[in-house]
Order: sequence, then C-alpha cells, then structure tokens
Amino acid sequence: MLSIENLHVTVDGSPILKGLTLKMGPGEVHAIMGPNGSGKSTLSYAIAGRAGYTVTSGDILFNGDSVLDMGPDERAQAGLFLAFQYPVEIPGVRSRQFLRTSLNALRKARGEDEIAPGPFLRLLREKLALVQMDESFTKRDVNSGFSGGEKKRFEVLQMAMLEPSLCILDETDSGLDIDALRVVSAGVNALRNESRSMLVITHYQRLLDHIEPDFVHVLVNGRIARSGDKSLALDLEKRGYDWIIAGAAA
Amino acid sequence: MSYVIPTELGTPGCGTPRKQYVSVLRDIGLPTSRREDWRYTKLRGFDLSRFGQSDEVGSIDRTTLAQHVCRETAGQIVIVDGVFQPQLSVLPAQPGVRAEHASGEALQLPPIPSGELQSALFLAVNAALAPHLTRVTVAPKTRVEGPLELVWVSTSSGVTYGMHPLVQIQVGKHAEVTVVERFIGLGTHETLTNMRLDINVDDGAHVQHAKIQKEGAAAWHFATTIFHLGADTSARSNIVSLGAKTARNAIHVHFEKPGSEVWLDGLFVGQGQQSLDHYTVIDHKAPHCTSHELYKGVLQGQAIGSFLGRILMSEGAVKSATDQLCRALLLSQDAKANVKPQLEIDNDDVTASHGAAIGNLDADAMFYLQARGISVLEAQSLLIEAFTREVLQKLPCNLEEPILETVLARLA
Repeated sequence: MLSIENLHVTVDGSPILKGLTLKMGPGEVHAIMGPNGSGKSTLSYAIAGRAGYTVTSGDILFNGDSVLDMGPDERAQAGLFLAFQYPVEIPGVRSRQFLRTSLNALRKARGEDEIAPGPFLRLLREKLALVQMDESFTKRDVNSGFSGGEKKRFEVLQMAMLEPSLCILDETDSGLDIDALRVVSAGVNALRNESRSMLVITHYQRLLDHIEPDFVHVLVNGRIARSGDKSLALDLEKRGYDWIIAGAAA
Repeated sequence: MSYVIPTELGTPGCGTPRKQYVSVLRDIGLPTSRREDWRYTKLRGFDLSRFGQSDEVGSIDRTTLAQHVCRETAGQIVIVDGVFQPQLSVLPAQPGVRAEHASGEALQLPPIPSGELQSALFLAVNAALAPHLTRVTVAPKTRVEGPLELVWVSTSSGVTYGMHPLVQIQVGKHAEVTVVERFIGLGTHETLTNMRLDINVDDGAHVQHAKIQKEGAAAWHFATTIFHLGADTSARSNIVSLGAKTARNAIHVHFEKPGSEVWLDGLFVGQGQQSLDHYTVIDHKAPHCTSHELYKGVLQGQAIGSFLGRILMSEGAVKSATDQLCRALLLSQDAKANVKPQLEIDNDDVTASHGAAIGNLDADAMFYLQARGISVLEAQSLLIEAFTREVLQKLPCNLEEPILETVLARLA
C-alpha cells in the first residue's frame, strides 16, 4: 500500500525528516506518535504533496508507484486522503459545491461520469448520518465559522464521501472534547476495512483508545525511533517520550 | 408611450456646430497622470482626433445579439456603431415609461459639472459630439416591470470611430426602475466610447443600475455616470468591467436631500495589457445619507486595475455614514492594483470606514482543494468564483450566473 523509503524532507532549507522508513500493508492502521517538532505534520504534508516540503532523497511509493512527481490533486485522485490538522476556511465556496467538485474530480480521474444531483444527495445524506452532521452544514461555506469539532467531523465526512484507499489523519484529535472525539472516531472506525489503510498521527495516546492501531511508531528527530504494537502507545502514556529520545540520541 | 425619432438620427455629425468646440478642447490636451483624479488612467497612445463618426454602420444579427442581452425587458434600445437600430429595439410599452431621442433644437445638454475643464475633458467632448440625447422618463409612482436595457454594439467593421452616447434617465417621485447598460465589442479594431449618463432620482424613488462592459480588445472606454438623488431615495450601481484596452468609469453621486442611501459596487477583471480604472466621488451634501462601496478586481497578465474613491462629507452632512472596501486579487507577478481611498470630512457627526486589500490566491486554500483531487485550474476557478460572487450576487435580472461564466472563461 504505502512504502516510505529513507525519506529526507526539508522545509525552508531546514532538514525535518532525516531518513524515515515506513511500510504499510492494505487494511492496516498505523499510528505515528512523537513529541512536538519531531516531524509528524511534515510527514503528512510530504505524503500529500504540499509545495514547500522538499524531498531531498528517498522515495514515497503508493501501490508500488512513486508519488514524488505527482501534484497533490493527482495523489488524491490515486486514492490518498489527508485529514487536515487545521482544516482551511474557504469563504464563498459552499461545502456542498466543494464536496461535489471533489467527488467528480476523483470520478473523472477514474474515467467515470459525473455524479447526478439525486444520487449525490442520497450519498451525502448517508455519510452525514455517519458523522452526525446536519444537512444545513453543507449549505455553509467550507469550514467557515465551524467549531473545532465541526471542522474535524467535516474532514471525516469528506473521507467517507471520497472513499480513499489510504487515509492520513493528522492530529485529528487535537482540539476535540470527549463527545466530539467519540463521534469522529466512530466515523473513522466505520470506514475501516480490509483494503483501506490508515496512518493516524497523534501526540496523545487518548485517540488510540478509540481508533485501535495495529502498529505504533515513535517519530523522534525526523526518524522512526521505535516501532511496536499498541502496547507501545500505553508505555508512552506512562513513561512519556524522554526514554525514547534518550535512546535515539545514544 | 412615445418615441420621438429626430430627423438627424442616423446621419452622424448632426452636432456640426458644436464640433468647433472640439478644436478648443484639443488645445487643452488630455488630463495627465499628475492630476489626482486621472493618475491611474492609461491614456498613452490615445488621440482624440483619430476618431471620426462612422459612415458605415455594421450589423449584428438577432441571434448574436440575444447572446449578450436580457431575455425579457421592459424596453431595449439597441445602438450599433453609434446609430440607433429601431428594428432591433423594443420600445417600452408600459404606461408611464417614455424613451425618446432629442437633438437639434430639442437637445438641452445637461450642464458640465464645475471644476477644471481638463478634468471634465471627456464630458466636454461628449457634449460637443453627442449626436443626440437619449432620454428615458419614468412617471411618478410607476414601477417599471423588468429592466430597461441600453445596448451599445461596436462591430468594429474596420473604421476607427468614436461614439459619444448621452443618456438621461429621469425617475419620478416614488417610481422604481432597473436600468441595464451593455457594451458589446465584436471586433478588434480601435474604437472609442465616451459616454455620459445622468440618472436623476426624484424623492422616494428607487433605482438599480447595472453595467456590463465587454468592449473589444482595442477599445477605449470612458464613461461618467452622475446620480442626482432627491430625498429618501435609494440607488444601486453595479459595474462589471471586462473588456476594453483602457476603460475608465467615473461615478459621481450627489446627495441633494436627506435620507438617501447608495450602493456602488464594481468588479473588474483584466488580463493582457488592460487598464481598468474606477473613479468615484460621493458628495454627501445633505444630512442622514448613507453610502456603501464595494469594488473587487481580478487581474492577470500585465493588467492594471485601479480604484480611487473620494468621499466628501460637508458640514451639512450630519448623521451620515459611509463605508468603502476595495479588494484585488493578483493572479500574476506583473498584474498591478492601485487602491486609494480619499476621505474629505468636514463634519464630526458622521461615521466613515474604508479598507483595501491586495493579494494573491490563498495558498492554504489552494492546497486544501488540491488535496481533495481538484486540479489547480479548477481550484483557482472555485476561489475566483468565491471572490467575485460577493459583487456578482447583487446584480439584478439573473445576471449573476451568465456573468460569472464569462468572468471564469476570460481568466481561463
């Protein structure tokens, strides 16, 4: 599914990722944990193809093909989805129009016809129920005036609509209260299946109580310092990051 | 209903005696960029003496015309290459609405606003060369059903010609009317439009004015719109500037009596070497009046878009309010926007605000859209649509969607 090989990424000339290697199989859920500044968000942006995140060496293979020469739109069309840590407010663009444009862009890339208004509305209503959002949200401008929880639910709604094969959840838990976290996690869990992989990036173990990972990786100073199963997350909860940071420095 | 067609109509040059005036004006010379009110208008290469009046009138077929105008109107006056086309026009049939052409003896020219002649040069030229006055009168308490549409078509049939439309719209007490102006350029030949439009709004009347300017690529377009507002009136103006090489829209608003409100909106979309210039003067002479201005521009290539908004609040303008906002989106490195608010306030019992923002497309929003599979071009379109809709949604007569389509097509 996803294979990241010895990835080096610089931002504004500073090296942030320094030889990161990660392999994910179909249907697997991997958690990336790490202290602030370890490169978690850089990893998500580098995979999604954001300008300014320069890959200086290494490769990102998605279903066997390198994505490095692909634009963010082409990566999304190939089945990659980034749920943003800070979803962007776009005044003047209606959420519904945005969802339909996006869905049609993916369908077009697959050689399918645009979705008709009727089926689109049915699909939208079905997915809105999944994240417990009211239809009125889709008549508002993209993320404009949405609360933190609403923004994250809207991210999961998009994920549900677009049905990607790889989901990257960048600190999806940040800024969520317990209720919102439950709704968002339930939405994500409903999207788990045998072929869809998820990369869950988080600072806290709390999210992993709700979205149970198959593998946990600890990112320190731009590299994976330790990998394990979900018990590693519990260790981190108890002991903090310092013992791994000390181990990585040694 | 009546429509007076003067004998001179269709024979260009009926203003012959006034032509002598033009030679005097030539000596005065064009306004230069040293003048505050003309500093942004690109007049380089403009030579008034080159533009005669057309002897050949081009033609436009109904199908082509229909693509550019409103489907249903309360009246449609079509002028091709400066000449009124009765067979393409639809005269207003509603009682209380009159359209007529006056010339010769019947022509009473509106006065040229005071001020230096150089500043008002194009108005003076218009006064000298306008072949006739087109006057639309709406009787008191008449609500005009549908827009009155004024359509100027330049076929650009190979003659360098100028037209000097002179239009007066008289709106009676408590009447309501929507006026749509269209400028359609079908060719690439150099043309000149030099227009004067006076809209006189009597007490309690309401006017909505929209102008869609799609002149040809080599056109010079100068237009002055003057609103005289009585008591408790409202006037909305929405100007969409898409065409012409150099276009300048000047709007003068005179609040003559208390209690009126005015909205001046504009959208300018430029590319290539276009220069699209907006100059507005709102003269708050009377108390309890409110003015709002919203101008937005999208510029690419080496286009220049300008907005200079003067607000005069005199001592008599107590309890008046004004707000002004101009935002420009630059899609290329060489595109340029000039924004200048100019508030001259001689009264401490008023509120005034103004804002300006010039910037590029939001990079975060672009990435967000792209990360959802939307191509760069489509993402740009979405953001431009969002940016321009704020102005376009205020257009009357369902013009919003077709104009938006034209805007996006021009920028593609």
